[in-house]
Amino acid sequence: MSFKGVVDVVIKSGQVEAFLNELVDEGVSLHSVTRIDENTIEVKVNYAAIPLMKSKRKKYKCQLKFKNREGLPFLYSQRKKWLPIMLSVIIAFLFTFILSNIVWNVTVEGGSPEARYEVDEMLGDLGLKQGNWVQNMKDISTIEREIMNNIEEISYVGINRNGTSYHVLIEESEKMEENTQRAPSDLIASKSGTIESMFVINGQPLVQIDDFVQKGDKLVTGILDLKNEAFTYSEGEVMAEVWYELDVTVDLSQYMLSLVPDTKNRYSVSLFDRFEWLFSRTEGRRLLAKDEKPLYFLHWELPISINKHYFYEETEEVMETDIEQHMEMIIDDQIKRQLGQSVEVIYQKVLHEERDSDKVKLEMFVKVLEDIGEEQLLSEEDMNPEEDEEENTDQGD
Amino acid sequence: MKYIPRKVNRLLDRYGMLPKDIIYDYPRITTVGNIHLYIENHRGLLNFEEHEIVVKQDQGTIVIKGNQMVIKSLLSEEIVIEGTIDQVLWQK
Repeated sequence: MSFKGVVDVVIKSGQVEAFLNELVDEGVSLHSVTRIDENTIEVKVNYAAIPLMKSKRKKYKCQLKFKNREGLPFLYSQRKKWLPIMLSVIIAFLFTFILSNIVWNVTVEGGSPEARYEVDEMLGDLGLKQGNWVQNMKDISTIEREIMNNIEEISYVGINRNGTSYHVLIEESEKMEENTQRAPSDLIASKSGTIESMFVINGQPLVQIDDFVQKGDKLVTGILDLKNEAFTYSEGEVMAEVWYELDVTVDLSQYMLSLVPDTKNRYSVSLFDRFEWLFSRTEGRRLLAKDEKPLYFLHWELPISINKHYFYEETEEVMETDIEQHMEMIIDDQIKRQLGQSVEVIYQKVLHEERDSDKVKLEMFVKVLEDIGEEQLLSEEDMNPEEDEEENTDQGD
Repeated sequence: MKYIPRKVNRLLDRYGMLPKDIIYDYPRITTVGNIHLYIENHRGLLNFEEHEIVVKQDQGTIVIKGNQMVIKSLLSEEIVIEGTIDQVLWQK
């Protein structure tokens, strides 16, 4: 195989040697010169020397016959022969490559039909759907985690990749029969306050509405009779008015560096995790996340992967808060931050206010409604003091 | 070495400054066993047959006799002959 092309030429002439000498003088190199009969010789000549040979043939009364053609130029001129085959091979490879990157089959197994349906729908949302690109799909581990977090009934999700089909195995958690198995307990007050409303689901209430309770007082008991024989768990909501004295600090001006939620996604191709080509520039943007998605060929993972970059725009701003106008809101916000989101503020009063250059310090008195019930398991002594004594006497014997 | 005058040639030869084939433009023949034969510095091919090849040189011709001889390559300064070589004759 040669790049420039070699031709076998049969030369028929009365003065072959002179013809060859002339060619050699012109700088043509001849190879494998063989005598065939008295007047004919076969020579291998470079393709480029053919025009020269043709121009000289009249002078020496030669008959030239071109036999074998080898090398790239001829291969190219004969492309009609091999190009369709090559193209079809390439297209076949491309097809397999494209089809290898498509999710062909998703089967969900295990669990109840409802759970399977729910999982199937969720898988679709996450991109694991028949006919979808593998690259458009979230990571397998991410999908597993998302499903475990979002569907409560499911205790285990296992996704198995088998070429282009995915096998999802789910296991449903059995519902615990909590009611009968819950340990006997009391509800005690976690904070001091006045009881506003009570809703006891299980257990025997010991206090009434408008009672004032100290921290640690029993609100609901699990001991149902005086002889200490029947026990149950306690459950319920005891809403009480609780007072707080809070120190709240409000910033009047804040410097904020925020990310604008409008993301710009950029794609890049990386090879062997080492060479990476980003398709377009992103200036003044902050890279927040990068998703790496490998390409597949049949069941092999190729070293080429497509990466998706999430870029966010950053903005700087100084927030000025007008304390007079938004006082209520800011204080409410601060209280919720300190006491928890579930509390309901029913009364608030500023006891003391102190202004600095850009800060306001407030001392506040706040009345809130919150659930003060806290479950406490009954101890052995609470439940059977007499038995304990018996045991002791047994040991004494 | 065509451009060196004869007198300078002789001087160069006497003091052994350059090899003789270069100074006098003689052909140089190298053989590998009796299967290969290289001729450098030839002046053209005169006759080519399977059993006899005649090559021109400055002082006459070189006749190579043998069997089933093929010219492996024919360049302007060099000939490579393959086959069974029996004789190399120098003719004035």
